[in-house]
Amino acid sequence: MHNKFYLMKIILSLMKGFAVLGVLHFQCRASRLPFDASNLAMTYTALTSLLILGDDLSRVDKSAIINAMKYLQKDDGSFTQTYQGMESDMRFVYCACAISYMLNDFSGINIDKVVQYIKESQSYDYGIGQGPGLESHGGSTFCAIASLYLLNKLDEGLLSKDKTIFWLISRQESGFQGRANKPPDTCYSFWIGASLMILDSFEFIDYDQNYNFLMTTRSFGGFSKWPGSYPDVMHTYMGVAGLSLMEESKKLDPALNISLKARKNLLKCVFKSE
Amino acid sequence: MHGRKRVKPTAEVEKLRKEKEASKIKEYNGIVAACLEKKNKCEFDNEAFILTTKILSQNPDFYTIWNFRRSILLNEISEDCSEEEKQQKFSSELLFLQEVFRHNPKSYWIFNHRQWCLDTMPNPDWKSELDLVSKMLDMDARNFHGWNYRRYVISKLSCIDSNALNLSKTEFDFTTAKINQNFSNYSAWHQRSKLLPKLVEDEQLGDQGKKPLIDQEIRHISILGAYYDSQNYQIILAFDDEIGMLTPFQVAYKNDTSQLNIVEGHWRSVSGSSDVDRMHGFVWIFTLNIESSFNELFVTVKPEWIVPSNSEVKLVSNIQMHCQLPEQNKDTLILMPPQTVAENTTILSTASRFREDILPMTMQERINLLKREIATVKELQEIEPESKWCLQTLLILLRELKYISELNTEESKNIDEEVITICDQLINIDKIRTKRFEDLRSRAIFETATNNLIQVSPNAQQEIIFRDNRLFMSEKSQLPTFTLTNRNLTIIPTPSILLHIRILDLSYNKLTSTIFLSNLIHLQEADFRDNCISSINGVNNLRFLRVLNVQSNLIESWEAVRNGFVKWQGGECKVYVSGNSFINESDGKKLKWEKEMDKIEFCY
Repeated sequence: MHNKFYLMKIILSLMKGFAVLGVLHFQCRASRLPFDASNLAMTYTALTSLLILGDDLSRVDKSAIINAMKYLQKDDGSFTQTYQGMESDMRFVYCACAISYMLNDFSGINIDKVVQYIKESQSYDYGIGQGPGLESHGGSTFCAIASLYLLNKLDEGLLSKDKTIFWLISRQESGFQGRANKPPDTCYSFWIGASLMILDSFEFIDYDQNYNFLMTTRSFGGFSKWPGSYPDVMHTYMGVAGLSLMEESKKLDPALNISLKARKNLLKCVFKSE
Repeated sequence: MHGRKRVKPTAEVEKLRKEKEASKIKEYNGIVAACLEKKNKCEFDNEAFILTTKILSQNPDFYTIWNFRRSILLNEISEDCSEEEKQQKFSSELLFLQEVFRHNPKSYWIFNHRQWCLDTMPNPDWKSELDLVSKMLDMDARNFHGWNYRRYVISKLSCIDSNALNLSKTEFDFTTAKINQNFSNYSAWHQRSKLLPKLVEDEQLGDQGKKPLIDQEIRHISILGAYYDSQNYQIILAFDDEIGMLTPFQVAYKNDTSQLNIVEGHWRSVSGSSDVDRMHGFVWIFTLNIESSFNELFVTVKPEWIVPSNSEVKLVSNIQMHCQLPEQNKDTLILMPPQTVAENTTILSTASRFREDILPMTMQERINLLKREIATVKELQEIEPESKWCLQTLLILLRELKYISELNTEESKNIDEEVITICDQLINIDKIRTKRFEDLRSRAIFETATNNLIQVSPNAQQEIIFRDNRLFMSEKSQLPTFTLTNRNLTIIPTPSILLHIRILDLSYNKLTSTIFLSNLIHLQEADFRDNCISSINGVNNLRFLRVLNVQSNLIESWEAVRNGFVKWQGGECKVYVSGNSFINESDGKKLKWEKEMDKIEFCY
């Protein structure tokens, strides 16, 4: 109990930094905080962590975050991670959409441009890449589909729901691979699985093969990327999340990637409080 | 680090490792603390630079330190610094990055920093960058950071090098080399696919001029007919292909002051489960909320109401239909002739950007191309009969050929049969996706069987002809019947084609649900003997249903049968249920459920 509140405090103090520094330009000024630039991905993680811990997000400076987000969207609709950041791709599009959804305020993003970016990132095989012209990839496909879902633009953003579903289920080969002809990897049981779940098509996968593969990647109490490797925190989470989609564990919200319990917290505390 | 092989260590080795790591960790934390302190004090000196080198060699993902390093470099070159000195600094930066890359080929920030160096230095050598990236891709042919970086380098090269054609060609040859090394290098294939249109474009210098671009992937749709059913206060709209709608069509009437008022009601497609809005359908039914007393009804259909993700078809322009309603004649269907409204024409914009890559060609050229490709893939398939990729590709090509070319029924039937054979093979080869191919196979079989069920009448757009009977015409002694038995059907993909059918025989198949019957309101007899049905669904609206046969299915309880009829609105019906596991044949000859289901007679 004590630890939980301590954690919340830490996260909130870091978030304050994001809100305040979000709009500062990128010179290396003297700063009292350990990390300079506020970061979209970290903001997403911070907010979901707070929800998991049961916080009601009332101490978060929502308007500052949403306003700062406006500076991160590029002309082509994608988002950078930090102000004047060097990389912009589907990962941060997802972060922006998820943050906006959790704070119930979409004024920080130009929705039409986001939908356009996602449309242009769909490939001839109807999978979705990190950006226009790039190879279809399980991670970016999840980011795109979840973003469209959170923006309620699934029907407009996907060129062909049916063909995208087929691309997704074609990624199963025992476990799931991230791209064609690559070996299956634990984390794609979530990225691909959650995408299918958002498209109401999770039932079309082979549960047994998925489950058996995940069991072979168990390692020292966690999960690793492949059978016989060392585990890491990310793949351990993804392994559990992948099992959760098959209801082997606590249930999961596929679009926000948090448990249903945390999602209930969001609905109760954040959406009702506005 | 991801994907490192696990080795089981002994206890002493473990202990030594932990001790070594502990001192390493302490040292690392010390360096980081020192570096960050310098950063906070904005000390952009050489000492700071060395600290960043030490940190980034071990941990290239610590992007804050990359930022600090860039600030130091910028600081160094801003003071009196000659061009040569700048060049030298950046050259050594690039060498440093190469070292770090060797241990960490998948760090986004290494590539970022490299790009920054090349963008900032006075004389970047893009050619040697290209060589470098080739070596990277030798180490890991699927590293998409590498491929992405390669595309960036190429784009830079093509800016300064006027010989752009040569560049595309060399790139193309590079992908050829990579594919020859490893046939399943999907990244190389992907790169190749992006180069092909460029190559063709580059080589077609001032060629044959503009050819009409055809939308091969997206077919155009038109309305077959629209009817107002005054008895049921319904409007029925039939398209000539399946369509997914986002928004219901607009129905309006003109009031006394000749203003258009929108009528409230609800739409559903004659397909699948009745309460889902966005379904596929040929036929759509709009039920008005209020009983009408209109003189005229207007129906508008707009292209933007089509759901792009669910429709392979599109409308070209707005369509508006209207009709004068005669005096209340309860038994007739009133035809609403469609007109294309000229003034409000909106063309649906091209759905996808990558379609711009398609080479401009005429319909005939496209058909020839498809036929050539089909022949090529079939050759491949002879060499590799078990390859699912060949079979899947053939499926795509054959289906496109069928839709875009105007085939006679013989050719169309041949393609359907080929498709069915391919599905049979895929069902065996691609076991994880067996059900998908079973459904595709069912679709092909159903399409073949229902080919002539809906025709365009000779006086175009005046009526919908269902198998020589006009829609809802007065009943003849011979009732419209549809039979498709013993074909391993797993689904009925487009129930709306069966709207006029009175007698349906789908026995000896593999159907798992009857939900598709939902809107087949004219159905009188349905035979589902020997299928895989587990419960009765979708019969609520079937008022004229007299006979339902579900013998020898997979029904396990009375509830599964009874619940299907609880809200049934019909008169009388016989339901045959023997051969299901819940039936005990020794219960006697006739079963009557008197209390709740007095309209239904259950028989063996």
